[in-house]
Amino acid sequence: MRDAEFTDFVTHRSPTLLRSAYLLCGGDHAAAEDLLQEVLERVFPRWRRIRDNPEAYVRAALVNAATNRWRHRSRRVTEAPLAIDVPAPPVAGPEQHILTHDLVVRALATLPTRMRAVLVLRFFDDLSAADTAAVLRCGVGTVKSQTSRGLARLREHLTPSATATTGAADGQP
Amino acid sequence: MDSRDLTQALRDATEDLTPRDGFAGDVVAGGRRRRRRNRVAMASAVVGTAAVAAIAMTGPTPLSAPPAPGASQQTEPSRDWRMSYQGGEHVDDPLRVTEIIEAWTTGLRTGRPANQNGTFDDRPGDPHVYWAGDTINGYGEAAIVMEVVRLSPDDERILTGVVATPPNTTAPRLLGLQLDGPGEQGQFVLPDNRTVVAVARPGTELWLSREITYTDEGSQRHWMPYEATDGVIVQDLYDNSNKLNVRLVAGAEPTPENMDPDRIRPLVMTGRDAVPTARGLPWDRTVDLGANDAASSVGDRFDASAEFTKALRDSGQLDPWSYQERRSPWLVMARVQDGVLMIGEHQELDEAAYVYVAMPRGDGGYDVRRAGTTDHSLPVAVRLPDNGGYVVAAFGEELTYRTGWDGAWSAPFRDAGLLPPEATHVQAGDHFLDLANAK
Repeated sequence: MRDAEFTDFVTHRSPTLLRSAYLLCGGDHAAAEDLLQEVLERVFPRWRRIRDNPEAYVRAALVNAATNRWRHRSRRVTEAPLAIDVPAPPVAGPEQHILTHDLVVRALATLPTRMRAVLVLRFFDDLSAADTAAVLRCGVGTVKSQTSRGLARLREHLTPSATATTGAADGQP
Repeated sequence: MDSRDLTQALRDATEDLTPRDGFAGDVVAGGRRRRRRNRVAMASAVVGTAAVAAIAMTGPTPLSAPPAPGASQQTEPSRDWRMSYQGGEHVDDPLRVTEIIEAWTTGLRTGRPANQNGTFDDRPGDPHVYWAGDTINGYGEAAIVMEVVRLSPDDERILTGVVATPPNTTAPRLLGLQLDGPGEQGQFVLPDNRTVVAVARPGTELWLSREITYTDEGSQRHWMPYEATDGVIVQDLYDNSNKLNVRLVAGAEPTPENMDPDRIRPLVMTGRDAVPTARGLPWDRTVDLGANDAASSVGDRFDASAEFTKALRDSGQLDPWSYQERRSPWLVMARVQDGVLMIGEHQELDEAAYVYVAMPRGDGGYDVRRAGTTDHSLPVAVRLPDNGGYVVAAFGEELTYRTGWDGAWSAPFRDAGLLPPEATHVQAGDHFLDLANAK
């Protein structure tokens, strides 16, 4: 019975959760799928305890796992695009629409992991500031300031002349 | 872009995403494998606990006598679950177990690596081999041994040690000891400086972080959960890890918000070179660029050293799991509009020493930022807000500045100085700095 419930949950909720994971992973589909699979497998032995509200639990686990994953990756390589101001096609059409979406995801990927998680939880998963704070185990004030700063940085990235900075090397005073 | 646009863009960007075929089946299969492993581990722990209860009922000892009225109901060390649990692939090999016990007893008798003063000589029970198994990455076999020690008539605790064969030797030896309190202890780094063996209740997790990562937004740790399936976790720190920067935490996933020093499980280093290298600058003075004016009395003087330490601690720039209050051996302080700007250094564990700038805010707090490592940040140069000029420092050096490529160099000054906003270049000993690069 428990296995059947879990299978049903995975079957029906994976598409939605995968979309969150995709954004948390900065638009990396394969990484998002791996992340979601790992989180769901870890949830399975605890299913009885969490089945009253599994989606909230999984979402929190997903955010934490994504944050850890990105911290780990950021140690080794810098994957933020150096420039995201892809020139727009001369005539706006369906491809412009797709390009805009792509730019938003790529701009989101340039944000620090927790800031990105705040924006995904608030504006993609529709969580309140309080619920977002609970997921991230931080204060509501932190969520609000991260939201404000995150939106500002997205706007900066998405203005036509914006280019992502490469960052100054440490050690230069 | 407002928040509604963002929501729409994110939804549009993800609407076509679906998991691969067979995803749900793979997840359920993987989940079942994990559950099976957990059950095996938990069953072992339960059998061990039941055995202890049986012994306590049939053969009372001074330790297993019922507690006196009003006495603490805390579990007695000899009845602790660990004293009856056994794990590892070699724990049923009597020859190995005999060798391990012999190494334990010899180590405690000879005071190597600890017990020279006989602190642990009062041991009312017998040693218990808690775990004996193979480690990863080729170190070989290791064992965890426990025994109840009586430190005083009313203070009995579990002493935990690691037994393994040191490099270039052939017999197992007691290599490290750890005493309970607070909490259950027993975490060791083997002499290869990369293999961690840590005691943990089967089915529970320990969180391991191998290093601190410093970013512009502060310090971060990447935490990995490891589940104890056999009463221990055995992990490899990798070749390039520095064991002194590792942190091991019990309980929920560590976050700065839930940081609790009692959850940190300190690691005992059994190898050599277990002391962090001091990487700070060889400076030991405070340069006051007008932070304390001549009229102020000694009692009113700004205690920059304490204030700087507090600013760093409160800033979130430092690692909460590694923070130790220490004073910067040198400081530069300067009066700016909202208070006193301070520049000093701080080193966490065996990481690099960083130069930090604490810029006062109007509310009495400080904005703290890193201004580079101490090994290649000379001279220190900080741009002041509101076109207020620069603070530069290079202790022990003679400094001079100019106000343009064609400008004349100023009269030299030593150690540190407050430069006007029109300054463009600084010379400090052999170092030349374009102030356009000042942070």
